[in-house]
Amino acid sequence: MPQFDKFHLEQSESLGRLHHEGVASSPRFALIFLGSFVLGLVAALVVNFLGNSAQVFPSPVRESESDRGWKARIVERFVAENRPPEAIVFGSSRAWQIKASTVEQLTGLRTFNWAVTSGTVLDSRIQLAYVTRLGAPPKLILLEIEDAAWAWDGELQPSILSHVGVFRETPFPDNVRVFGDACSSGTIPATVRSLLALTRPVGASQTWRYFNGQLWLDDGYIVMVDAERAKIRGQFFFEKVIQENITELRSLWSKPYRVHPRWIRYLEEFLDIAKANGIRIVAFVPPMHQAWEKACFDSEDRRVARRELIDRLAGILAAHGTKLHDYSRVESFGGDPNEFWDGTHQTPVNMDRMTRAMLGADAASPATAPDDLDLIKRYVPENINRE
Amino acid sequence: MLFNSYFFVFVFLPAVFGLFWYGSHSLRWRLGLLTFASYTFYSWWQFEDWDDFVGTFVIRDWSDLENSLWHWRFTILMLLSSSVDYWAAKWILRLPADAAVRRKTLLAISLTANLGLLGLFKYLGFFSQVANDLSSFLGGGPLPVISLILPVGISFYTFESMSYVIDVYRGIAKPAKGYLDYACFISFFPHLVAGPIIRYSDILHQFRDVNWVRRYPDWDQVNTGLLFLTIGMLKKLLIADVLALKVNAIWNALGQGTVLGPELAWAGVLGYTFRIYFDFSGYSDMAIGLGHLFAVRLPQNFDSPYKATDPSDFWRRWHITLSAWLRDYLYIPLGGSRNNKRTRNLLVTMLLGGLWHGAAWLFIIWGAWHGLLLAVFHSLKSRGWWMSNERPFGYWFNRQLTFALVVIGWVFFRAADVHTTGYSHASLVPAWRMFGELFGFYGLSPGLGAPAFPAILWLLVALCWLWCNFAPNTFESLYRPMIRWRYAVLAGGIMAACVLQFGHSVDFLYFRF
Repeated sequence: MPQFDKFHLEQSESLGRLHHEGVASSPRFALIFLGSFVLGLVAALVVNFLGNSAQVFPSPVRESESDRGWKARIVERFVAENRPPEAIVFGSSRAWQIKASTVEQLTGLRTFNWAVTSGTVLDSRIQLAYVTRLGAPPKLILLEIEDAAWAWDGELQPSILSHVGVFRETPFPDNVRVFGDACSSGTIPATVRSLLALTRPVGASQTWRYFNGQLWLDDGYIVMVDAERAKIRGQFFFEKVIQENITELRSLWSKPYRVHPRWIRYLEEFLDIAKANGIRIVAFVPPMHQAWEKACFDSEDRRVARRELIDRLAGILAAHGTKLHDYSRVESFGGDPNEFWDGTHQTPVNMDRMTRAMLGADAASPATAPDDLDLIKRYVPENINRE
Repeated sequence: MLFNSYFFVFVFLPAVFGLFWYGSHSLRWRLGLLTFASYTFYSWWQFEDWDDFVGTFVIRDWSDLENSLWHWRFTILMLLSSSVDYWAAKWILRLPADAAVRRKTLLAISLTANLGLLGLFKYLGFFSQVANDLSSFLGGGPLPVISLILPVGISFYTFESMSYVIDVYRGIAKPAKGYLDYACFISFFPHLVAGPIIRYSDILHQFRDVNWVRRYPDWDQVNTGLLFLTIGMLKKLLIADVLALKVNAIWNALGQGTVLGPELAWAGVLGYTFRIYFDFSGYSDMAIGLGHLFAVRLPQNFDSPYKATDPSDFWRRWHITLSAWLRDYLYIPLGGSRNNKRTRNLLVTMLLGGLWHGAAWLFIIWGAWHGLLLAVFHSLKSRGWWMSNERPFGYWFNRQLTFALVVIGWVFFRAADVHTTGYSHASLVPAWRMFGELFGFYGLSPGLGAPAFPAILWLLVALCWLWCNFAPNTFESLYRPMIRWRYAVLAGGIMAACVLQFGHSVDFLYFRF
């Protein structure tokens, strides 16, 4: 019979003996540990809240520069100045470049583009509830329906917390999750950045912003400055962008089409709020680039699932008296298959045509809204002529 | 559930700790609570969210039942696996000593069940892939390649369960006093998913130790547990995860065919060498610390392995509980060093040890490499050709030589996880490519798309080398009395810093094994 030594437990046994040989057992060490732990966390949370390097908190010292925080503050200001938006664009970054000025020209309504990064129907429902609570419901809403987003049990972005009024409209348990996500964004590097941010002076506020190669106007429209410049120089190749991102984004878009009931519930709540306030809704599904679509919907099952999803959403909207404009094919509104920034975001050329089509105007008629290059020249300090 | 998750730290652990010590001091309550908590801990992996969990209890038809069973499949698997072994051991004991055939049959049933589960979930995919490759090579038609999701921790709990039945069969371990004792031993959450691999005899007496029946915790042991937990978190979240970010970028670039150049390649290999140590020993420290919180002392799993002076010494210091398991249940039964079969037995043991880590050729090669090192070392030592450790030069030379040999092994180990464009997962290409990169065969400077100069990584590698060579390990540190308020403040602060990193943590490496 082999003898089995227990060398691997000896160390632990010795530790055990050490405890019993010690002085009287006391919880003081554990309590100090716990106190120090809690204090450390609270201190980090306060620094992250005030310094706000993650752009997710409603910091009174460092306002969030996320589009959720920034756009909500503009709407709040417009309402306070008694010129609330009469038409609002809701949706994701795929609706960022719907020009408020174009909508304004076509409808005669003061327009604001409130589309936000990774926006979902829950964002739209929260934003609409907020603006209604302010007593300024719009007359018209352009609602982007990102079909693929419905297939994900996606989470609300934590930056929704960056505006207290908007966050208050966030339903349970999403508000708890958002709060948790925001708090967890305060990593050690983020805490250090927040601490450094608190030491820098706060810049003067302005109605437009230019950072990260994007120009944000106070009607919510976003100009892709860097991409426009690269395009002019002949250095922008969207096919390359698609190829570079295809592996990463394909995995994101390849999740099974399983519509979570809560998304449907949020859409219905959104439609109910709109109906209660007599708001007209124009809903649309934007297109993807063909190469992208081919990669993401590479099986018949997925294509069928997508079609069923769009049909289901169209049915829900129809029950509320709203038509869904299905522009999932770029040809459906006379768009140019090459006018894309990447696999999912169209250039202003296509966005303009799509806007006209959904508002019943002639898609081919020449644009009258300010050209993006003019906007760059007007706002961006290092304007394009210096290139 | 992960140790490094908010739910675990802020809800699960305080709740279980509170209920354990202040709920009731009866043995049945404590065993029952820990078993229930451990099964909850384990089942947590199988649900996406609360709705998903609640949904499994709403059963209206067969498809709901099917869905529910599917969700709970890994929990059921662990329950079944441990039950088979418990009952097999119980029946073995009931049989008279002269009923050798029936006793052996019961042992065989238990071992077949355990190894069958491991084979099904861990190796079926690999061997079906091998069969498919072979069939294609020989010009036959493609064979089906089966791919199953590996249940978390299966390699650990099947080994623990097997050791129990074998020890009971051999008559060297006392049987479990009841099913609850046994279920708690197998599922005890600190060691459940990534070890240390414990044996029932390690833990049996602790369940009835004076610490278990006392009304309030032994605070000295709790304090030690907190220190272990903090050091483990520090190793994992502030060292291993930081290394992982940099190291993974280099290995991913290798997988995409980017030329790295020797500097990046060495940074990637040495970075991984320290990452795997801090990741796994960090997990072990956390497990040991958590054990202490519930008055259970788990065995030491790492004893400064990079201070080893020869390959044999390395395996007495690295993943100690696995090495001890392989030695006691494989190497010694094979004959150990008797009858001039040492080389064969070492190679077989280490090959299987490599395969235990994962079903891939590179893990087998890694195991073979260590088997070879051990065989060569014993051969050299028996001839007096291995330098003595008595003189400082010999000692340091042996240490650095052993370290270098271990580093070479890590290239195979890490390469097993590189998905190389155009090659199958089982491909050996990433390892050979990395060896080529280490010596500049593909170019001396990084190519297009290679990660930037890893200054921080080199700095971290240097610090880790100093830590591993000169600092005491966690057990050595805690032999000295550290129960001072300033240590409590420091440890609490470090724990807070670790919690800040939870949102950006990388999975424990050994979860996949």
